[in-house]
This record gives sequence, structure tokens and C-alpha cells, in this order.
Amino acid sequence: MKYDAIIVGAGHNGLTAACFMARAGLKTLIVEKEDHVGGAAVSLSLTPGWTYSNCSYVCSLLRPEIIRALELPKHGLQVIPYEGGAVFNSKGDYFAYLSDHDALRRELIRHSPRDADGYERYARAVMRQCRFIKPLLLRTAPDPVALKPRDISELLFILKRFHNLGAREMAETVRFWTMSIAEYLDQFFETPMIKAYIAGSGIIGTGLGPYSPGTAYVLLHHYMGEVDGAIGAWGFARGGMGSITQAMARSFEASGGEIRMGSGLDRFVVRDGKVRGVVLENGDEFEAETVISGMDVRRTFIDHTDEKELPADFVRGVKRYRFRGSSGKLNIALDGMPSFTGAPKDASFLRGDLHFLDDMEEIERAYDDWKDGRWSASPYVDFLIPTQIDPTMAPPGKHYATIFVQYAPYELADGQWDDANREAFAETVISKIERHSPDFRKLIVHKEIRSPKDIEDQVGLTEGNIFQGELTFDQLLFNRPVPGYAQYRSPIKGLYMCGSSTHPGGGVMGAPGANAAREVLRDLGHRIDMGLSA
Amino acid sequence: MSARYDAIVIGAGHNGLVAAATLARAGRKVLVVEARDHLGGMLGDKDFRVAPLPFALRPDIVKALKLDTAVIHGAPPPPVLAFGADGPPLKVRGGAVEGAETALAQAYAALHARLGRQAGALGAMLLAPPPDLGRLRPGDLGGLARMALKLRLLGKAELRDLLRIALSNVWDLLEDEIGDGPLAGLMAMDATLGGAMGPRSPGTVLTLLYRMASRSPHGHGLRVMPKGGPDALVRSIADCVKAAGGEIRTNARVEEILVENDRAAGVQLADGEQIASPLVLSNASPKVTLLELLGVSHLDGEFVRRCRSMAARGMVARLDFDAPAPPALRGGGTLASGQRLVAAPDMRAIETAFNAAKYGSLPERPVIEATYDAATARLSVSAQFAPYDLKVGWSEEAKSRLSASVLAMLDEVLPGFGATTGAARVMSPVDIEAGYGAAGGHWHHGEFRIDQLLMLRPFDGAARYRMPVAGLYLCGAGAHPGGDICGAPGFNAARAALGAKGE
Repeated sequence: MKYDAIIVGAGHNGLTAACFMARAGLKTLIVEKEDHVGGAAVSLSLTPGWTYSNCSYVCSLLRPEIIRALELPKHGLQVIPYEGGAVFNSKGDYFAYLSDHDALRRELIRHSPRDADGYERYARAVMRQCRFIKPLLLRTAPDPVALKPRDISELLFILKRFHNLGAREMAETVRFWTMSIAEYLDQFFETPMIKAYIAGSGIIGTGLGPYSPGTAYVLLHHYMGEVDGAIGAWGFARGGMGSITQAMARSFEASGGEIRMGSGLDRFVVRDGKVRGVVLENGDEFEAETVISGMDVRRTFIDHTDEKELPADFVRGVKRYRFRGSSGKLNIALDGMPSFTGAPKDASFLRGDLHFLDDMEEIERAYDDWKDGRWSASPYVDFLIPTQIDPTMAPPGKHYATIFVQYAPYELADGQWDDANREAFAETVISKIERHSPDFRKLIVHKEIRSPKDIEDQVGLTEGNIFQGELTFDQLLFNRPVPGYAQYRSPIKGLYMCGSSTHPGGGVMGAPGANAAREVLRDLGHRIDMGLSA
Repeated sequence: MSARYDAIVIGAGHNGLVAAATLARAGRKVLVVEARDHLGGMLGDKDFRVAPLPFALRPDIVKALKLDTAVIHGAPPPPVLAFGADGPPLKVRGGAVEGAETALAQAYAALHARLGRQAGALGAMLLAPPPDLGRLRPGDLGGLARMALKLRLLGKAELRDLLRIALSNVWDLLEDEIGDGPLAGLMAMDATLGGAMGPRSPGTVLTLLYRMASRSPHGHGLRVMPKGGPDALVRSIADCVKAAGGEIRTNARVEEILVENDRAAGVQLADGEQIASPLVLSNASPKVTLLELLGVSHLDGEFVRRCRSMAARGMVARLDFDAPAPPALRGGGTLASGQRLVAAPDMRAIETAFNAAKYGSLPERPVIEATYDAATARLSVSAQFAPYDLKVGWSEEAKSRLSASVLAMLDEVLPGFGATTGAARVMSPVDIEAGYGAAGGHWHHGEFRIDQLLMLRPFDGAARYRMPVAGLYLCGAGAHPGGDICGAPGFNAARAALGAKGE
């Protein structure tokens, strides 16, 4: 059967790209190996009565322009912001991050009046960086080497924005993009717990520690999102992260798109340097002269493309591309709401992201373990109980906990990711939480443990990297995924990439999918408005 | 107090001397005041050198000052000995390796040449003043345009590669190109020595490129021993200062930079003597110059805050061991005088040594480079990572613990050496700070990273050598383009000071 465009993989980026194809009037097919859509943005029921956001778990980065253009609220998406978070230290104290400005200021003053002032400076500085980068997310990164007319005009766009910052702010921006999160925060804060709370955003999902240069920028990747216009806010998708992709799928089908699930890609069909279609694992063949891959760059080109069809330097670049999974995940069904030592019952910050840390050094030491091929003895956890806000995910009175764990290596120095090691990994995490929540362990009804290896096997993210590849400079902007191929096109005519391996990278953002769609439509001569203007 | 001098240079380190020579040769009456009893700063005297193995002075500077090239460039350096976990060392001379498998040697040679080309293109910026972001001047555009042109000449593939790796870590680059092992250990040592970064830290490719940008007739990226040793290099520049009419005073510690009407007016020495001059160039580190010698009362708060937060945490300790005879090498032969030895068996060993230092502790197994000096019968060792802010403090006990761990490393590569030597003389980063005006005991007066380079070196608002107090200039490694023994900050600062005269 022949289509105008085929998208491989029904993750959020594949769906986003597909929606724009269908909206442009193209006959579009999505092929998906699982029997559900969503990729890493899914809601799954693994124990009766509970729904897990078993991969990605909170929402903020999804571009509002995409939400509007694809009419996702109309198709059932509802994002509920949560009200802050907290970090608990080993001395029984905590720092609560509150969304209410005055309450937050009081809490900061409780720890340090200087940090309360430092926070005002910090918040302004980060907001300026967010404002600088946000318009770049839905644009194609210019190629500074090829310098075609469009690259030059895009480059000038960026340089002009940069120049408009003024000399002082330009310098601050260069520093911000290259500094370590630890050093960055040292400029504003003195309280170790406060720094530790914020520093987590600089290392989530990366193979870097808070002392590594370049992590201040990663912070931005967790701050440039918004919920209903509240910049930097995070929320839960009601019904779990799968609600996002289900809304996208409904939007896609409403535009006449077709989704085939249950059989993954076997290979791309390529003749004379042009893509002709796809062959699925079950033998089904579909023709199209435009094929867009939502898979990461290694799976797309090393696993599913005949190497003979690709230039050697490109293959080298793909093989060199770094994934380096560094995160694990626990999904836990709870018999009731756990309590936290020192925290008032029903405190609003318990509805947000909780962490158990003394200082940034503890995170850096957790990173050192990972470098040596061990999961962290004292890991950084991002712990949330979304059912306090979204009761649809657990039976009445029961709760669901999502626990993101940093760091866990893809390959263990000693042994394999077998059941015994996964249990030992989970035990490390649970016993750490138990020190701050004594009743947590006995409330556990069911748990799902995911090592980076499991994330690779079950979700298809190579080495379990949640961003489809590290967010370091050698793999950002015009370098992502491979220098010279950072504009969504591949060396094979008609074959495009739209996954998080492309600019601007990972997170449930949708920007790579939308950007890829724009480039495809451009190549096809469709000069239509995608409805993405802010 | 009348101005007897056109310019005073504080500190007779190699950059101070290069600055003084440049000013003197332009007809300025120059005085160099040096706190110690000898010239050369970290190049040292025969009793102790922080930098026993100089990098190459920039050839353009050698030419401009008409220094004796036979002395400065010396003989071709002997091969560097890179020790792995066992067996004889690899012998590395520039891009040529002896003792490695052919495929590895070829990959190494290709990488060495490629980094040399890329460093050469970036090096176009080394002798130009850093551009001013807020106010681009035609002069700045010249430097930028030259670099842009040189970058284009690399060709598309190599330029793409450079844009990919420039901000990356040396770990990934070396893993891709030559794999981990003693050769990667050697390159990663060059990328990290003197700074507070491990091979996995993003930004270490840039430090490697910086070192690869050093040039001499013997090739790029080499430590070049001048004929007659470091003293001959120092003497050569000092002679140049004197020949052009400049004066140099030792044992003259500057206590204060004098300011009149918001202009530098001269210096006051520790003994109370005041010397007037409308130009003052300081070879001391930015923090020492601004916070101690000048004083914060002459600066605005934001400027001071940025100066204070400049990263300058020294990470190298220097140890001198007596070596009555040339030390015997594992695998046969002896260490030649002036020959460089590196014991960093792989990148992981360097990263592991860095782990401890991050938290203010000494590593169990430091990684080291060593050189033997036959004239003084001494083995000089640079050991990293030895943090300035050692949690237990740099007590005698901490020093002897470091000394013992270094000696254990030495015994692995120089079997039996421990039995022939006594206790080491240890110079910690704290000692280096106290002795050489380098805040944090940092080799480069400030960490060498992208947020402290070019127009951000030493920090935002203090680039381009000229300080907020008119007539005061920075001419040391804290200024663009930075550290090692290259002379460029001194050269650039002197030219900036000369250019500013007519303003």
C-alpha cells in the first residue's frame, strides 16, 4: 500500500510529526511495534487498579505552541500543575520549594536570609536564559559550516538575539552555557540543601555530575517548560503521561491519519539513494517516498538501514554518538499515603517532587559510583506521588509513586542486570527513602523496577538514555545527532529523523517532531502555516 | 615623588619580563620589581622550580624580542616516556610513538597532527587582544577574521570536527580515536595538568588544544628545554630588558599599587619606598593584583564579586627528590636529564585521582609527571590532583603522606628509586600561592575554561589587560590567552599599554 508519508514509532515526537503531516493533507501512516502508542510517554496498568506513568512521569516541556496547534486539550489532554517540592536531609530538616512566592521567601529565610535574596537574583538570571533559548526550540539549528543562505539568516537571527542581550548579559550567557551547576549555584546560595534541591535539575538523565562543566545548561532543559503559561512550572498529565500521546493519536486520526500497531520496523527500503518505504517485522510492506523515523539515531541507521546506503563519515558519526544511560526508574503501587519525617501531614509540597539529600557532594559521589559501573550507593531520587492530585491513577485511598533514580549504569562493572541485581538496586533506593519515610516500605503493594537495560529493551531507547542521547555540547544544536546532519535530513533522500536524537533534544517536548515536520513539508514544497507561531 | 619610570612591572616571571622587554624595546623607561631574590617566577631558580619543563615561548615573541633562537629552542626534546600499567614505557616524540602497535601508533599520529592543525587555527587568537563583546572595534575584527579564515582553511570536515569537540571532554575524544591506555593517559595529562578538571570533564579538549597550540621548530605541543635550562630562558629575556635600557630589582616586594586621582601612580615597596610611574603592569594573578595590591576600595562591588568568584583552585603539588644517579627505568635504560616521564597508565587512573581531589582529599594513587636534572642531581615531580583546599590542611603530615604515595608510584616505573632517595621537598598549592603571587596556587592564575577565556579572562569586565584604574594592566597568566610558559599575556599586555598611551 502506498502512503505520502510513513512515520516509524508512535512516541510523542513521531506523533507530533505525523499530526503535522496529516494536517498538511498528506496520506500518513504511523507504524508502531507495541500494541499501544506513546513510546516513553505512556500510561500502563501493570497491577489491577493502578495506572503507572512508567517511563516519563511529569510534564512541562511540551511546547504550548504544539498543544495549541494540535488541539490537544480538545482531544483529552489536561495538565495539572503541582505545587512545589522538597528536599529532606539526614539531620531531619527539610527545605520546601513552594510555588507561592511569599511562602517560598519565608521558607528561604528560615534557612538563610542571604539565600532568600540570592534566590531573587537566581530566578531572574535563569528566566533571562529561558527567554533567550525558548524561541530557538522550534527552529532548525543553522549549519555554521555549510552556510547556505538559510543557515546564514538563522545564524544572524541567533547572533542578533545574542547581541541584543547587551555585553554583560552576553558574558553571563556564555558562562551559563558552560559552567557546572555547582559553581553556578554557589554564586547565589549558601545553604547546602537548597543548592542540592536545584542542582538535581542539572543532572537528571545525564552522565555528568553537578561539578561537571556544562551542567548549568542542563538545568535549563528542566526549567524552560511551562504549564498554562506559568514558566518553569511542572505538572501531571491527568491519567498519566500516556494522556499526552493518546491525545496526539486522536488528533492525528481526526486529521485522517492511520496507525498500525503490533509490529515493529524490520528495515527501510532504499533504492538509488532514495527511501521507498518500510518493511515490518511481520513482513508487511508499505511504500512511501517520505519516511520519518522517531527512533534514536543508532536504531534508525545502524539497526534498520543497510550500511552500504550510507556515507562512511556519517556511519562513524552515528557510532560515535553517545547515549550512556544513567537513570533507573521505580514505579510503586502504595496501599496508602506514606508519611515523611519532619513534614507536616498534608503539606502542599508533598504533592511535588521530593528528594533525600544533604548537599551537592552527595550527588557528585553518586555520579562517581556510576562512572565506575555501579549504581549509586546513595542515589539522587526524584520521587513523586501524583495520585494526590490525579486520583484516576489508583483506587480510592491508594497511591502511586514514581521514583526516578540517578545514577544507574547501562552496563554493570560486576555482573548483569538480572533479577537479583535489579532487586538489589531497588532495595538501595527503597532503603534510602525509608530513612525519611518509615512507613513507605510496608505500604508497597507492587513495584516495577527498570534499569537502563530494561528501558532499552522495553521502550527502545538505546542504552536507556531518556534523552535519546547525551545533552552535552558535542551533541547539541548543529552537532545533534551528527555534524552536517543536524537539520532532520539524513544522507538518504526522503528519510528523515524526528526523535529526541535531533535538536533540541529530549524531554517530552515535541519540538524535534514539529521541527522535522517543518523541514519535510518544506522539501515537499508545502508552504503552509503549521500554526506554531507563539 | 617624581616619575622616574614610564612603566613599572610587578613580578619578574617570564610574562613580566616579556612585558618589560616589549615596553623597553619600544623606548619606554621600565623598572621590573621582583619580590624574590631571583628572576623567572615559576621557572624558578636552581633550588626549586614550579615549572621545571617549560612549554615553548611563542615563536612570534622570540622573533619580536630578537631572542637567541639557539638558546630558546634548545635541542630537540628527548622522547617522552609514557608508562602503562606494566612493561616498558612508550616513547613519544610529538606525533611519533615507539613501542606501540602499528595501528595505534598511526591513529595517534593522525590525532596529534589533526589537533595541531586545529590548535593552529584557534592559535590565531592567542596574540590578539580578546574581542570586546559590547563594542567591537576594527582591530578586534582583524583577529577574529584571521581566525575565521584559518578555520575555513581547515576544510569542512575538520572544521565540523572541531566545532563538535571544542567544548567536549578529552575522555570521549581519546576513547573514540585511540582507546584508553598509556597514550590516552599521556594526552589526558596534557589536557588536565594544572587545572581542576578530570578527563571526563567537558572542556578538557580545549585545554589540550591550548597546549597543542604551543609551537617551536621541533613541532607543536612540546615541552622545550632551552639550551642551558630554564635559567637560560629567563636570563635571555632579562638580558633583553636590560639591553633596551630597562632595570630589574630583586628583593623588592610590592606592598601596594599607588593610586592618585583614579589613576595608577606607582608602587610602594615593603620597605616603604615609593616609586612613581604612570603605568603599572602586574604579573601577579588577578586576585592578588586587584584584591591585595590595589585594594577593593578602588573597585566597584560587582567587579569585586566577579573577581572573587573567579575559579582558581590549584591542583598540582611539586615534589623534589634527590637523585644521585640517573634513575633506572622499568624495562631497561635510565632517565636522561631533561627527559619527561609520565606515569598515568590510563585516563581512568587520572579521573580516579581527580575524584578524591573534588572533595578536598588526596588521591591514594596520584598521577605524575617527572623530569630528572643531572646538574642538580634531582628528580622533579608534578603530582595531581593535590587540592589547594585540602580538608585536613597542608600539614607536614599531609605532605609526607603525599610524598609516600608519589614515591610508591615512582617505584613502579623507576624500580628501586625509593631506596636511593630521601624525603621529598614538597611544595603544595598553598606554598605556590604564597611564593609566587598566584591565587589558589593555580599554575595558570585561574582555571582555563571557556567561561574564563578570551573576553571572559580573567573575568567579565576585566579582559583586555586594562583594569578599571587607568594605567593599571594585568600581564600575567590570568590575562588572555592564559598560562603555561608561552609569554603571550605579557606580550599582549605590553602592546595594549603602549597603544593606550595616546588615548
